[in-house]
Amino acid sequence: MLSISKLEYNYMGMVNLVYKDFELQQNEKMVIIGGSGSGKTTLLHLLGGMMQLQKGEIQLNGTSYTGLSGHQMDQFRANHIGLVFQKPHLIGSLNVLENLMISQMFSSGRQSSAKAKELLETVGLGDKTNARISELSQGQAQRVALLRAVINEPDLILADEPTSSLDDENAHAVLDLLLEQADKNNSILLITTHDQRVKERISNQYLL
Amino acid sequence: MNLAKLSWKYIADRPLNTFLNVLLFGFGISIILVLLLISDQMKDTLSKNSKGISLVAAAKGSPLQIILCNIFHIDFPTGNIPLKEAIELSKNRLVKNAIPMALGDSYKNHRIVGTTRAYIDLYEAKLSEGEMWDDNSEAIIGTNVARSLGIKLNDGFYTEHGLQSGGAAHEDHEIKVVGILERSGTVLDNLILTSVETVWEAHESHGEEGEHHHTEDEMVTELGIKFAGHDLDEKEITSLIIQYAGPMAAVRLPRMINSQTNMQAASPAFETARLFSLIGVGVEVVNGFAYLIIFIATLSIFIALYNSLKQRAYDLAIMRAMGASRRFLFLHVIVESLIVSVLGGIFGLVIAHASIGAIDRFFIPEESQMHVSAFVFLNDELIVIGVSFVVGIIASIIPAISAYRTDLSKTLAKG
Repeated sequence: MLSISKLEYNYMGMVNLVYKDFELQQNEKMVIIGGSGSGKTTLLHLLGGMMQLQKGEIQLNGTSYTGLSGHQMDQFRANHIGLVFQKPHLIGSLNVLENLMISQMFSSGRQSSAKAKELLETVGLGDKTNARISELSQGQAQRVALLRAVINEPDLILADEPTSSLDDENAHAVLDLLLEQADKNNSILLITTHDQRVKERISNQYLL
Repeated sequence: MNLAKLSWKYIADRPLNTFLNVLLFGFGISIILVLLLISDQMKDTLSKNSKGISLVAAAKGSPLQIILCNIFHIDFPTGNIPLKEAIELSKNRLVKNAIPMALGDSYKNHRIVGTTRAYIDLYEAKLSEGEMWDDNSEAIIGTNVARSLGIKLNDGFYTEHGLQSGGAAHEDHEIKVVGILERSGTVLDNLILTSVETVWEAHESHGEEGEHHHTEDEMVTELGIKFAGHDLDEKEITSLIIQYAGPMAAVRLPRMINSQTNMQAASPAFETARLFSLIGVGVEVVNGFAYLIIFIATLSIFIALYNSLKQRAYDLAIMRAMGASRRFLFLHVIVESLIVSVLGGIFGLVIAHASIGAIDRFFIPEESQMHVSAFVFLNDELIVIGVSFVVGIIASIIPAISAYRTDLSKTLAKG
């Protein structure tokens, strides 16, 4: 279960963002919708434990972010949260398989190249295992980035505009994959977007 | 995947730059090591060869030349000393032991030394085959002489006048090889040893036949040399190697020789120290140059990391997003630098020993007394490992701190 209560964030006294409370159970999905500057990304970064909380509380499966030290938060993020961004941002010095395995390295689970290969097979990239990142198309790269986020079977998947730079075909493929992986791992899925294609697929919407 | 492998992947991603930095650092290290190894081996050779020798008394001239000639067999003799004076000196109560040396002839670039058995005992050398010389036309040879000239036991040769090949041969006087010495790691390995009498005879036989009347004279033995009594005044040798009797000798004997005789005293300890202080200036300059190269290498590793990290800010943020701690990123950058510097250090070690092998092979003539070996390893070389680590850490500390401080949220938000 993911819940936020009385969450606020203040940027140097200038902008004060106030978030309505919400609560999501395992395998629930929600899109976060709002114009630019409405605090979508800030909310996502707060939920990902990538920014220090200022006011209010976030809890994921009984763990309150407030009580975690910086290092504990890193470890918690590695084991329980998967992040997907607008661009894939894969690591160019590593090949496709290594990009997935590095994610396993940071979590406390075992590293398994078999599991990484299996995931690549399921998205039709089985032949790209040892390919360099520069050899991938944008759609392929985004699929790899998505697998990197879900390979540790996170409780929470946070996706920041994951489809906005993709064409229809790729956007749907990525969206299918996100939903499918969330179902498979019983994860909570949160997507920030202003993309109509996403809103059509997920009815639960959170307006900022 | 692990920390070291991850760091290696980034290094492997810029091979030319890595190659340059390894090369640069390796060269700096190797210069220092070559100097260290050569001077150590030289000192070792020098001390081995001058062990047990307190003083050399020879004709007036440069003391350094006397040492180089009579102990290391590199330079030329300063002249001759009268045998009579040498005998008198050897009887001084400050002299424990005195060994005569008669130099000036050679055979195919190997020096012939007329001396006594005491000279061989001085270096504790043993025969590997054959026996000591007995007669005035016999010699024993060092192991390198046997090997490089292909001389076997019972082979004969004619000595050549002068210390370099091409001198007039004393062709009427054949010398037979009766023994070959075991390797001793000293100058003996490269010398041909015989009696003083043999050297005298080779010289006298130049048309001086008939002037001597050995048979009628009473033979005397002084300094282990046997000669006709009436010849005493005209016989000469090159030098006298002296061992002191007691500590007072070190103070009084050199002064006594220099002021009261026509001879010159030279102390191997003093002269080799002087030689090293002369060479030392050059060594310091080259060492300074090597430290400069190492400094530039450190700077170069730093710049490479710094530039690479600017492009990798997003990679670092992504790793943080995947759950990497700040400490991990810090270590990731340090390890990356350490891999380069340690590779450079290893490269430097290999280059240093290979260069010494090459110097020995191509620049030092085979018959030289001053050989260096690529396979001598010193404990001091372990310092290279320490230096590599220090350089690796110094070069990466600033980039590592900036990696540690990567602001996850801000960097990702820029994306």
